[in-house]
Amino acid sequence: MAVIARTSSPAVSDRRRPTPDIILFVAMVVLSALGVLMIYSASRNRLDALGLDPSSEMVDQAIFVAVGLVLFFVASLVDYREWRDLVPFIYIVTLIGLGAVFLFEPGTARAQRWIPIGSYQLQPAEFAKIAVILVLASVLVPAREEGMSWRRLIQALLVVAIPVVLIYLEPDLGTMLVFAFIALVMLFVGGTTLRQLAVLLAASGAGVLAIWRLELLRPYQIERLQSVFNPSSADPLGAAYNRIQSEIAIGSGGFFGKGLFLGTQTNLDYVPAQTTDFIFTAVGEQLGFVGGALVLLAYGVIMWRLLVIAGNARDRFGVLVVGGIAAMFAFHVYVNIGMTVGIAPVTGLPLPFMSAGGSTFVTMAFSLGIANSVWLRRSPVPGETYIV
Amino acid sequence: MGGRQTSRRSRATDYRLIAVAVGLILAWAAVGIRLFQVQVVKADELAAMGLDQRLTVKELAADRGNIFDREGRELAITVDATTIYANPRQVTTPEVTASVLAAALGLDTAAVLDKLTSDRSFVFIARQVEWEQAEPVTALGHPGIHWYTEPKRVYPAGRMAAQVIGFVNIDNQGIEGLEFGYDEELSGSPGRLEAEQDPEGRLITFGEYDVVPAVPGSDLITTIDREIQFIAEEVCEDTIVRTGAQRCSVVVLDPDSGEVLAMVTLPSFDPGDRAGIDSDRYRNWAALSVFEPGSTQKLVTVAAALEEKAVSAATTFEVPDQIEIVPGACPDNEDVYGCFTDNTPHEPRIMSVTDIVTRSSNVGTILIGQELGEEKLADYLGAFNYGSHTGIDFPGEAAGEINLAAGCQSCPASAAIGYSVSVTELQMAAVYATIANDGVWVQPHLVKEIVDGIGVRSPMDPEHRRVVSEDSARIMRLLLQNVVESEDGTGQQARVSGYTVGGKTGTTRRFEEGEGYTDDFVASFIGMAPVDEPEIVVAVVVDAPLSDNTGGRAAAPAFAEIVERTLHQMGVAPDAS
Repeated sequence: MAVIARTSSPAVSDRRRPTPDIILFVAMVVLSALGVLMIYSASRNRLDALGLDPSSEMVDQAIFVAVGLVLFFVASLVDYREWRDLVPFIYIVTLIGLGAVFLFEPGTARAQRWIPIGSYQLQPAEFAKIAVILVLASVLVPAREEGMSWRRLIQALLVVAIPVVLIYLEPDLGTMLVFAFIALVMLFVGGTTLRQLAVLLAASGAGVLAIWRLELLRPYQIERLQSVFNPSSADPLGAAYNRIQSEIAIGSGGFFGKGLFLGTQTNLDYVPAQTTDFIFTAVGEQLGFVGGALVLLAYGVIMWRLLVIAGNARDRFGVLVVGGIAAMFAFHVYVNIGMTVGIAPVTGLPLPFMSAGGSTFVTMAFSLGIANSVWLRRSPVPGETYIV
Repeated sequence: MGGRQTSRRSRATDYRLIAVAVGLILAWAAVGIRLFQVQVVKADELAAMGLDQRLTVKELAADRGNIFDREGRELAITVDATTIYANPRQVTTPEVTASVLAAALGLDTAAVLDKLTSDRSFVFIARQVEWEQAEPVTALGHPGIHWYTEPKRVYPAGRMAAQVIGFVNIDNQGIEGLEFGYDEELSGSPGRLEAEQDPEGRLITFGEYDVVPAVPGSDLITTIDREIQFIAEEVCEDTIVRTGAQRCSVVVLDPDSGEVLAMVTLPSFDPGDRAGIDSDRYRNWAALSVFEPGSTQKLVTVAAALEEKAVSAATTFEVPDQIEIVPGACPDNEDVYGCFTDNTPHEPRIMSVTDIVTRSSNVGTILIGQELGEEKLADYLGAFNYGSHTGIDFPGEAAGEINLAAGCQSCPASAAIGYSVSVTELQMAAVYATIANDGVWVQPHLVKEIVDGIGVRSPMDPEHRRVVSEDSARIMRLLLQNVVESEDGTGQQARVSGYTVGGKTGTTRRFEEGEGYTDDFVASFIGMAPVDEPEIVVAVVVDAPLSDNTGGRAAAPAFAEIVERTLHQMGVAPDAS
């Protein structure tokens, strides 16, 4: 198996040069750089107060960015179609990784989500996202475009269900929801009939009801979900407190923001997890609506590019993989920013390219690299695709 | 990997991708609209909420003014103390913490544990303890235990002049004595700090900041002389021991200025440790409580008669030992009040005004009063400030009263000898000070000067009022000197070696509200020295002595000792051998 890119088949007249998606790349780099800056702004006071190097968290993130960019290039160079052959292997490694978290002490957090590697902590669920996208895509490729068989549908659901159960056990509600959304979008793009989709949604609804009734969610998870609907009535120091503080921080930024490093709410720890889940509050408070809207615009650009890439993919596998990546990316962005402005639950989903954390950054960069790989090997003739 | 074939892609996938794109764009727009709503529409409201939770307003306590004696010696000052409090919600190991705190601070472990396990976020553990005691607690670092520094009032002179100085409550608000009366001046006005804080309560350096500094309270320079106060208290204490009295009170006045050099009520209390003290002891008896003065008041009757030229010192009267003012009252008619007698029976005899004063003859004084007339007597009682406040700068002063109701036959006679009137010891001291001060009444006062936070001094400006002429006053002083120095005088025990002394005894039955006259006596002696130009007026009232129950025996020796030691202390040159 050749690891390095294949060229397109000479049998097809290539009317377009294989150019990388520069716009996608630039948007990613801009967001990453802003993320590093915001992490510095949000962490320096706290680190300084602890007597640590105020730039240490920023430096960590910069390393993750560097690693992520290298992986972006690697994924771009590798022909995405190679991954199809590796799917069984990828799937098994993913399940092992998800299972391995239970071998380690949970530490101070309430969940077991990490594998310690030196001073860093690997979060297998993050890598599992792209892995499941690749696996699910390969399962769905043979399906009929207009209406897949029930058998195929169930097969696809099972492929997703196994890692989701493992993630449920960690537990990590946000990531479960990401998988559900990815699966939904990929099944839709992959050709489920509307009837199948209706049945699927009804079953999901029943499932949610069952989870609720059987009390399979942790109390704090229910609290977080409830706080979306009624932030002020719930425990002000719990989940709702985070939401209100986040909204106050972003709102007090106003149109132009308070200026870099002048965010009183974020820099002073009124907002929790401000370098990770709530990094967008730092943007909102310090850079205002102008900054927030530009960040949102950059995410919009990335999603636009991903949809264009999906629409131009050479084959069904490419369409499904990039569709899944777009779903994953969009869900993270909307739920995270939506959470900080009070229209989505506090689920603990990181903001791609901006939240501090290596596993997410690397996964996201690698995913966009795969998308870029699909773009590099797009159909030579627009609208034409290759079906295996 | 062969078998790939080219085909036109199904339109279905394109449509579905478009549907996904539409969904993502809608979600994107929803987030954008919401962002606009939060950062533009609701921005001011949210910014205000943020500022509201960051802003903290702290009251900056003003330093309470100190209280000094006339020489600038400390009577009441403020020191830094440590107050320890807990946030029970942060306490992780209440049992351990409670026992450690209780041991270090000398508290009851169960009581502390109760506080630590209460459902509150703030409880005091110990207020205003010394840092030496608090320091071990702070060093242990138990979670949920916090402390701060707050001012604590202390009284370096201990029990000295306790009722005069008074004290503050735990929040440093004056609640008794000068601390209460001058609370406004002593308190100053608190400042205000408005600043932004982080969730831990630390102030933000780059946030909004507004300070209105506190204005420190004024210092009081009192008229009290610690040395004289000490002498008076010591003598009073001895007098209680000697006579078995319930109470002893002393006022020492500077007759020229009206300054109170000492004001004593015993038993007293320690203002620094008031636990279990009967609040009755807080009472500054000398200024707040009234009594019937008895014979000491004869001074007013005689001085008025001299001033009005109704009599001279040499005018003589034929004085029986009993006089019937109300028909049928004598002798000893229980039902009719109006028979007045002298203390010792005697044949009717010719007595001069001097003799009457020297022997403290009730009948003689009533005869002088009759010469003067009821109206004039009432006028002079008023002029000597009977029945009205002296205006001393002490809260709750009593005014006393003159009971000369129309139609009361016995009242003029009884008022002439010190019954039917009630006065405070301070009022009586001021009456004697008027004679000592050549006939000019001066408003007695306890604070000489108020010195404000920036050093501006406001001296006290007492009222003055001439009551009798210099001549009458001088003659009166000689009559008082005779009371002490004559072999017939009732005040012989008031003699002081080296100084001429004038004064008057007083012995009355104690009058209790609702009970009438009791078996207890109130023995008093009020006088001055040196007679020619008095430096001090001293009033001693001994309440309910068991032995030596007359003014001459219970109070005069105390008077003498106070006068002697005080004049020595003041460095007054002896004027007699």
